[in-house]
Amino acid sequence: MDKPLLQLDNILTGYGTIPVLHGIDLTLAEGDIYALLGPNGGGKSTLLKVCSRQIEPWKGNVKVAGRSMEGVAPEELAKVGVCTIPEGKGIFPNLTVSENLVMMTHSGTDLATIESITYDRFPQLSNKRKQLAGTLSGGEQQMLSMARALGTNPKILLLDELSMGLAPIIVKELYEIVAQLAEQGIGVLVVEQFARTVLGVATRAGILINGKIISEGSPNELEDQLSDAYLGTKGKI
Amino acid sequence: MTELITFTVVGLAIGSIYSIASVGLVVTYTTSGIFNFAHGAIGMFAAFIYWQLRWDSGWGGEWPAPIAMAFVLLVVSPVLGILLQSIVMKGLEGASETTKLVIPIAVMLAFIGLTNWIWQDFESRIPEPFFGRDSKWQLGDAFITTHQTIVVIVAITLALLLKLLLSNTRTGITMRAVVDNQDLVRLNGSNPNFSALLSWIIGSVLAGLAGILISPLLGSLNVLALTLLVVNAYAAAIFGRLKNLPLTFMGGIAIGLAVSYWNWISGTGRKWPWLSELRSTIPVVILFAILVVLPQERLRGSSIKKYRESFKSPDIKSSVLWGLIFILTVIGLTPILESKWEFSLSKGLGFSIIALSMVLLTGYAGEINLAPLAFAGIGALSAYQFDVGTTVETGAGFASLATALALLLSFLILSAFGLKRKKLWFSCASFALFTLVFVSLFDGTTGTGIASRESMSLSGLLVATLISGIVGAMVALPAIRLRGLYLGLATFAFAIFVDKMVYKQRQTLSLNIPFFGDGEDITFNIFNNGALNMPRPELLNIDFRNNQAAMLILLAICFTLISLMLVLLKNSSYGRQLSAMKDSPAASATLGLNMLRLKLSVFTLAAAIAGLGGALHASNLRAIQEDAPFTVFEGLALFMLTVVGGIGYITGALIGGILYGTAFLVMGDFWSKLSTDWESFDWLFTFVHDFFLFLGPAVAGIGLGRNSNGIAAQIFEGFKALGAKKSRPILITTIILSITIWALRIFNFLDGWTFLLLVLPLLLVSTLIADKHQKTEQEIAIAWELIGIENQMSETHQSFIDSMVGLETANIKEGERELQ
Amino acid sequence: MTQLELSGITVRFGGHTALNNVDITVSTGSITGLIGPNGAGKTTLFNVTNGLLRPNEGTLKFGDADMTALSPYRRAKLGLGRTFQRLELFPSLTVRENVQVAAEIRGEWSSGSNNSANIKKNVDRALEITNLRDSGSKNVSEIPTGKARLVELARSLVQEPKLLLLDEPASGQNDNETSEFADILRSLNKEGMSIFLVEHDMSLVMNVCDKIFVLDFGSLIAEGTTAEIQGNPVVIDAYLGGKSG
Repeated sequence: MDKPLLQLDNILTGYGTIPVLHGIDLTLAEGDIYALLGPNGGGKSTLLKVCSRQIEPWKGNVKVAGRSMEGVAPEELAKVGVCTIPEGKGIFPNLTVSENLVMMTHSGTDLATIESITYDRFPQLSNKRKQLAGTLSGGEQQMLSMARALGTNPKILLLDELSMGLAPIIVKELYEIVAQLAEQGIGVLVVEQFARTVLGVATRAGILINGKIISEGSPNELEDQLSDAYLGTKGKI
Repeated sequence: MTELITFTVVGLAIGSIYSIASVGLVVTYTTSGIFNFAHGAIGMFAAFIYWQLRWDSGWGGEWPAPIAMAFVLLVVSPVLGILLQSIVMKGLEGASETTKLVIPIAVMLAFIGLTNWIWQDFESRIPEPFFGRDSKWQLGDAFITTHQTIVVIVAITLALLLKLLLSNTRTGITMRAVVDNQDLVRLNGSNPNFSALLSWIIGSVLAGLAGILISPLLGSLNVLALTLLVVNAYAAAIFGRLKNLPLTFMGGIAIGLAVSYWNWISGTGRKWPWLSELRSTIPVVILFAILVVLPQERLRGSSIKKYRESFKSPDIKSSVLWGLIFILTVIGLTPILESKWEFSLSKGLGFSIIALSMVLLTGYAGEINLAPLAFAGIGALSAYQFDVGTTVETGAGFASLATALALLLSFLILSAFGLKRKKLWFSCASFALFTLVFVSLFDGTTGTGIASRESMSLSGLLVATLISGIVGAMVALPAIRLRGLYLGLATFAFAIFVDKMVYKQRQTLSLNIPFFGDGEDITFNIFNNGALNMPRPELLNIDFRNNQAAMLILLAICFTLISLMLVLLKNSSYGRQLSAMKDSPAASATLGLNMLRLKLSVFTLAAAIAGLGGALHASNLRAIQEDAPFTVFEGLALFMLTVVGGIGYITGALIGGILYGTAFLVMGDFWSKLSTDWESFDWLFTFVHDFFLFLGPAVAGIGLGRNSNGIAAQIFEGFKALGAKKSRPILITTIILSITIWALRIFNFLDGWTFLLLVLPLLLVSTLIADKHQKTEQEIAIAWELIGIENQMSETHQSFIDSMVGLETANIKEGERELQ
Repeated sequence: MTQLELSGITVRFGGHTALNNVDITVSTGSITGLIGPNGAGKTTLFNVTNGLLRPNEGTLKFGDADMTALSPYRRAKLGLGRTFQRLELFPSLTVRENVQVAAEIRGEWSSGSNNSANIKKNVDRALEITNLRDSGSKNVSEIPTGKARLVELARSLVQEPKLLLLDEPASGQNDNETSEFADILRSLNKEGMSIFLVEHDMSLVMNVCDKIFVLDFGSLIAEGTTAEIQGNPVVIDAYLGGKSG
């Protein structure tokens, strides 16, 4: 591990004048699955958007494979192998399944490859090629959005709330795919509110609360602190 | 059967053109979020260019139809689309609803102005249909022209091609994806701006095609008529809810058929003379109806807004002071202005009074009304009919009608003022009584016979206010649930309706007022023969007929009085409720605000103000015509310029009105004077003159319409700086210099132009100096140790700190780089 | 006594079911909490309760009155107040004016007098309770989120609601502010106001609530006292996802 795939240095950002993230440092190496956990409103999704260049940080630097991404547009980032699957809507609901696959070719991979990988992996989608993606079940929609991670051969995968609204068994299946991708050397940054599912596959984890990573470590070390962070069993005040 | 076929084919042909135009509109709307008001004007412009190439020898002979078509549709229209997207429309996504309306309106006026400029002379330009007028074939007993056939075939082919593009190519799929989720398109690796560009190209090609196809159906080319014809397609776009292309296409056909069948039923308008203009109005009636019937989005809050308009509310004391200063300035100007200029200035003030209605409605309450001049026109018309209408028999009957109107109007407006039952009825009754006394006693309307007067009466003005207010309520009532763009379109439809059904109405209206029998009827020609000679008022023994200065001062006083009323309103509970409704409808409803009642009230009040302003304005002009000055396009221009001026401020209305009524004319005058003075530069000055005359308003709109706070806000900043203690010397110098220049002018040491050229720069420069002066003071006043700790560090702050600690900004950056 | 009773509330957006047959009661004089993971449907439930959204199925009762078909402003008149998760202040007005306009709106429909002295008294009292007296002349777009939440609270207070719905009042507040906020809620509750609270900050919820409902995927999965909820494995699962391994 010479240069980390993704490196965040002291990221400070927010909305309007209200700061959301107060100085985040984070590194992601090849084959890492980094689980970023924490309650709602802690700034997890904001951090992910900083990584995907959808939000310009006020201060701090995002580096991909050692190169600063300052001034790079999100669509350019997608072409150099950073695949971002945003929260909830990783698909275009008013396009058909196969049209959704066509959209993935913008990253540079050809349609035939994407189609064969997708339909091999998720045979149930191949029967619904002409169906509008918005009418698929929640699990199928998430499979479709994962198809982009599988089919376009990225270096870095950014996942936001993969499990949202899905049955645990499907979530488990999806995370197995994530684990396989990581084995091929992809670095994965996962944002999750539903912590346990991801801790099974993660190699490292961090808890983000009020814009700061309050603790970082192996999944096992963190699991005990989580229930506190969420339900405030030992509440303050 | 023959007729059925004929009218169906005509309807299909027109409908096909509407479909082409509306599909283009929807394509741009879905990918860019901008409703392109200029769509119709682009079609019109393309039709003119096509005519020029095809039928006029001016530009290299008469081109063959296919080549001329190809040139217009494959070169001119795409270039227009690219220019529009990359220069004007880009970056409007996060802009306010008003800005999103104003910029396309400005572009529309630009195309209209440009066309009027290029094709100036009144030559009749008659485009021929494809293969000539006699080329037709027979179906049963009916003849179908080749042009109609081509139109229908083209529309169907285009629909198929578009379908192919949008579902079978990656480019098309990406365009649809942009509609779904723009961010996700980026994350997939495609730039949505490219899709937007493409959609503007397609939109402008389709508009151009529609314009070319429809122009032979009009006879001679006419800028406004052609623009409006394509505007008719808007209804189809709304029918498709601005997103569904097949529905939009069907909607276009349906509207075409509706127009054609109505022509059939009504014998091209001859059967029911009252409705004769309905054939050109059906599409906007349908537009209004669809908007009203369409289910509305639920209440949303302010959090979706990404922009901020910060209109500060003025306090009453300083408003009175500024009002007095304003009136005194106008009085001071009267002795030094030529009467031509006095007229120009009063024309501007007339528009300013009407613009005040928009300050109330759009600036304070956040509701958009694109028909300010329609209400103004109705006001002017009412005042005219009351005062000089052909056979208005005024008397107890009329007075009772006015009283009933007053009762209704005050109820509509005052019920939102928080008056409890008894107080409300008492207030309404007092106003009605006041009206009764005013109308029946003040102007001696109890007499019978023709009330033809030579002057506009105060009660005429009151009647104008009442009637336009009630009409405003009648428009607002069905449209009350609409907001933003949809309300804009509904009022736009109303403005077109008034243009055709009222201004072009030649029928005689007879009213028989119940309970006041014999002979006390009202009979009048609605709009005579397309022109009404408006009387000037006669008050306090001042003859306004031959005294333009007096008229100017009267308008200034009226403007000030209405303004003060608005300031009072803004600072009242009513005004705060308007702000609340504008800022967050969701929170207002949650706090228990009955927004429907408030909206109806403010709409009525604004329409009443517009009506009063319209009557005054028309009286100043002495005449109004069916095509000036209260048409839909002039209304759009005034709306746009008021936004440019600052629609949240009284001053914004003043600037908007003056810009529209005065400034561009004076500027034109200035350049034409220069061109006579320096004949060798005649070509240049004439060009500049024409530029201001034809394109001035549009360019101002495009250039300044983005700043949602308007010019007024900037002026206030300047004056605030000038009013500061530190700037006293500058202020005093400015006042002394102004008075000196004024005195020099009065004693004829200076001519009018020199006066203007000295005073305007003086005011500008002094505010700039004061502003600069104050800014440096402020900068130092901020404790610089705390910058970056308490405040977010801005670039100016940073450079300020740098200069304080004696570092060059560049040096730090260099240093940082080295550290890395 | 029941202040608010939602029965069988179902809301669908297209094919997605945001709320599925939810029954919730808030008893008079209580502080009731509503918690659940992100996207569980809490704000949707509030929108249904105060009338910004019509449910596809289900009925709502306020006290004894059926308010299912009432528009938001009529529900306000019944005595239902609400704050918003995404701030819905009136940015063109100052802090004081924000509260004042609420008092004035109330003045129009309440039976009491709406003279300016009365309104001023009400506004002063609300600003006093929320510790905003010193910020009255500030523009609401200039104040930090924590304060802005208090302005929303003050604005609701002048309505003198019987039941106050608070949508994530502590988000954007620091620990100090949250603890002050908790004190305000308790004292309001003592004066007889029922409170229904959606909150992510568990320290606040666990501290002030008498009863808690838990929403997950649009369905009610648990209800009970704070202690019951904290020990409930179903709730912990909902937050942390299915059991690992």
